[in-house]
Amino acid sequence: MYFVTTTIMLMEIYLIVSLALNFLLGVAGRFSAYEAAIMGVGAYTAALLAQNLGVNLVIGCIAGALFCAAIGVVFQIMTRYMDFFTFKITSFALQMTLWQTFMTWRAVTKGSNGIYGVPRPEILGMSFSSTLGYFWLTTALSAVVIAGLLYLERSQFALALRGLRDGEDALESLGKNTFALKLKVFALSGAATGFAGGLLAGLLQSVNPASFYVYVSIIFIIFVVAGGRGNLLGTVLAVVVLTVVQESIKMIPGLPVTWTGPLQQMFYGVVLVAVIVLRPSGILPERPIIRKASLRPIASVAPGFAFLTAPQMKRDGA
Amino acid sequence: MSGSVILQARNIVRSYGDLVALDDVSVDIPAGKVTGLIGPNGAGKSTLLSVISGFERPLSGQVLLRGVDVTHEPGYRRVGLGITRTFQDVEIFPTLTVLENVLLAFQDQRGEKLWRLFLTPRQVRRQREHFIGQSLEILKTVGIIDSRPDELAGNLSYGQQKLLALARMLPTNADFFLLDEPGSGLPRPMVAHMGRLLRQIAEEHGKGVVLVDHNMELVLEFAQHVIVMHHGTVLAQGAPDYVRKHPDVIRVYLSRLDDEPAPAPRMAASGGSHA
Amino acid sequence: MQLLVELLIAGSVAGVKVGIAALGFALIFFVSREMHFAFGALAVLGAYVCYWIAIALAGGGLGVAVGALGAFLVTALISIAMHKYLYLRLGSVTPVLMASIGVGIILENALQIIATPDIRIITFPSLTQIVEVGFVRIRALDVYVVVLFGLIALGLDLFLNRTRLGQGLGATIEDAEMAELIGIRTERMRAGAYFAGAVLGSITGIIQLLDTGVRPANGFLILLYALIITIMGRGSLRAVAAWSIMFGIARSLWSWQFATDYTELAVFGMMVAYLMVRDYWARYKKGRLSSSGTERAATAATSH
Repeated sequence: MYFVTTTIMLMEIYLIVSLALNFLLGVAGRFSAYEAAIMGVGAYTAALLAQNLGVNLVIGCIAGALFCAAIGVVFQIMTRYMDFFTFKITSFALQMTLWQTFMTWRAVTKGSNGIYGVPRPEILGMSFSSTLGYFWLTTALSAVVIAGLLYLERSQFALALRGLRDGEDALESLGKNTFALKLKVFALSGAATGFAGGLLAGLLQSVNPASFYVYVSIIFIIFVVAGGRGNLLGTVLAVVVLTVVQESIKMIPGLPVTWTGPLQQMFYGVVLVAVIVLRPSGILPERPIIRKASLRPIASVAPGFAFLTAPQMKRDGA
Repeated sequence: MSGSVILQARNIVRSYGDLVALDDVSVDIPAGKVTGLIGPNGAGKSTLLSVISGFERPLSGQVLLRGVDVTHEPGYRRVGLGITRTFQDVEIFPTLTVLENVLLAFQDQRGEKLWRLFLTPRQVRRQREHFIGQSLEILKTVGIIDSRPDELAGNLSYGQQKLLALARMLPTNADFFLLDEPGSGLPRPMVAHMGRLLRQIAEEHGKGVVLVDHNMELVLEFAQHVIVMHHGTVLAQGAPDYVRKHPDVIRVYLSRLDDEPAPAPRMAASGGSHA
Repeated sequence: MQLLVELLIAGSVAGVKVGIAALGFALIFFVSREMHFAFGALAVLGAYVCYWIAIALAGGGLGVAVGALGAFLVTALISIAMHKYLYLRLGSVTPVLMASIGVGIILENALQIIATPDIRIITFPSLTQIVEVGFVRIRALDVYVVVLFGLIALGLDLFLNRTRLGQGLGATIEDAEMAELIGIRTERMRAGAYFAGAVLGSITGIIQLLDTGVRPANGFLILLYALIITIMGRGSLRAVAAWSIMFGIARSLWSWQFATDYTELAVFGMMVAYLMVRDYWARYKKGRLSSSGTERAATAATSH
């Protein structure tokens, strides 16, 4: 029972990060390799606030989310004019740098030992420190975040992001501030990921750099690519299916313990190569945001080009 | 419609290293008319378009819209001010549907603002339905024949894509539409259809339309105002008749500095153009 | 003064060890335009192949030499095969990147299973002894590595500029289409680049084997540093060589003055600051006004 609830909580947390990454990678078409590190920043932030200042973990999660959103924004400003190759490398470099900082900044992060004893929150007198209690809390919070992301997937905001992916200059010629769009999606993605990190800190009741190594970032990428870039439902499918298979590997009879980890990683590697070669768009390919348009009755709109207003009659000052 | 609202470029200089693309170029673009911008390859037409629409910054000179200096406004902001453009390579969004392509072009969409999406979802939905309806109407009027609005834009034929690029400009409701070779590679009937649409947009709705093209025929048939460029300078600008009789223009085109057949004999034979 | 010289040397040594890998990766990337992210894992594989052969031949310098040759062969074959049968089939940038990451993961973890995550090291007292060069005390191995790097960098430079084959390679780097048109067998050039890159990667792995030891997880770090220095180098192998030394010295100087806690962060910050300035400046000079960051050609290439 404990195993099942813990696994489901892990899935929920990973799902939040993967969905956020799909927004970046799939919808907006921007590469990102530092998700795990951002998760780590969220985890450390929430954990330290809870441990040292007695801040409620949920508040800590939100604080972590805001901090991570800021990191995303700063990163985007730094990399604004980089060509795509340089950008990808810088993304990896940020992941490694943050991870290295987790390891070496012992004063704050306690280095490779990590932080222990992260207190689970108490809300309105109800304690959520039991496994089951924390399970309900995590599920409720995850549901809110995931629902929010799924809602955004069908929004005009997401449509603009897809336009950004397809043709940045064209999007600009339509009057959209493409840089602001990029900032928003990086902030959004960072916030969700940081929040999930805080939840992880509460789940494990400890924070350790090993959870946020670059390989974890790559696994998030695999979730997104295998599930289908630009299709959040596909990501849900991929997280569930792949996690189940990954856990099943542990149960192979006669498997030496030292082989479990590498075998699990190899599984992900094989999935990645297989998807890229055989089905690049993923399990569930992307679908349009506005569907069945031809079936809509045309509401009362101005016929022809009547909506075009003549120059003299509108704008002021400009 | 009067040409009282004007888009002007004054003394634009733009160079790439040693190559001077625009050498002290000044043009006037009137509203309510179709303006043709022609000239051989490398004359600087696309560059001028980019400078006017805000995609490139000139070394010196000004772009004035209704007398206001907009030279330093970036491209996306000029759309809101009233200038939008298309690109030479068709830049419709291939993974989006036909409808979505047009829908994106509306300005001030509530659905793009994160706070509105979460706090005022009903208003967002209502405005979106309105825009969708308007988009369908635009598609109908532009006549993207045979392609359904749910079709992925990348699956369209080349000609349909070019029409879509034109349709996509309209929701911006800009005052000036700058089109970079909208008809290139298209069969004559489609080009004519486009030309008629552009005339309609200019004359019936008071917009200023600028047409950059190699194709003299297209331009002379639909434009009421013509600018001829060569080697980064303006040879002549004015009514088509004035331009086609201009000695500099005749000289350049007669000396076959481009691939097009020398138009001079045709000009004399065909008489007047459409007014 | 003494301290400064020691720091510079220590930094150069560290930089040079990274530099060999960087030259290998850069060569592959410049010539083929493919992001061969399995590079690090292959370098480590090379180290292991060398180790196994050397152990089988009862160690010693000869064993390592034969092992090295075996490593070169194996890694070169795998690299070229990946290029021919995987990358070329995939075509565009992002799929190649992802697929190579996948292969790298598979290789690295296969090694973990076969070889266990324990460190592997071969020590030669003749290499680890301290020698005196001028007034500086330095390990013999480090001296050899620096000399090796110098030979490699110089050799590559001479090869590219003075030999016909090298010039063909250079032409492919500059403009592959034009090179193809004037009769250069660009596909052969790419295979050659992969071969050379694999060799350089293996050398890096073998140096680690003799130095601080290898374990399967080292692969990613090798790759990352090679990547970073390649982008600093921006198309010129000479720049790559220079930057690798500067990289090492930067880290060395920083950790001397400031706490080592944030060395990585600081070096990352410096690197990004440099890239930022370089890109913003290039952007300004081009005179583009739009808020979009990338050129349209690059945008098209980014799309999957």
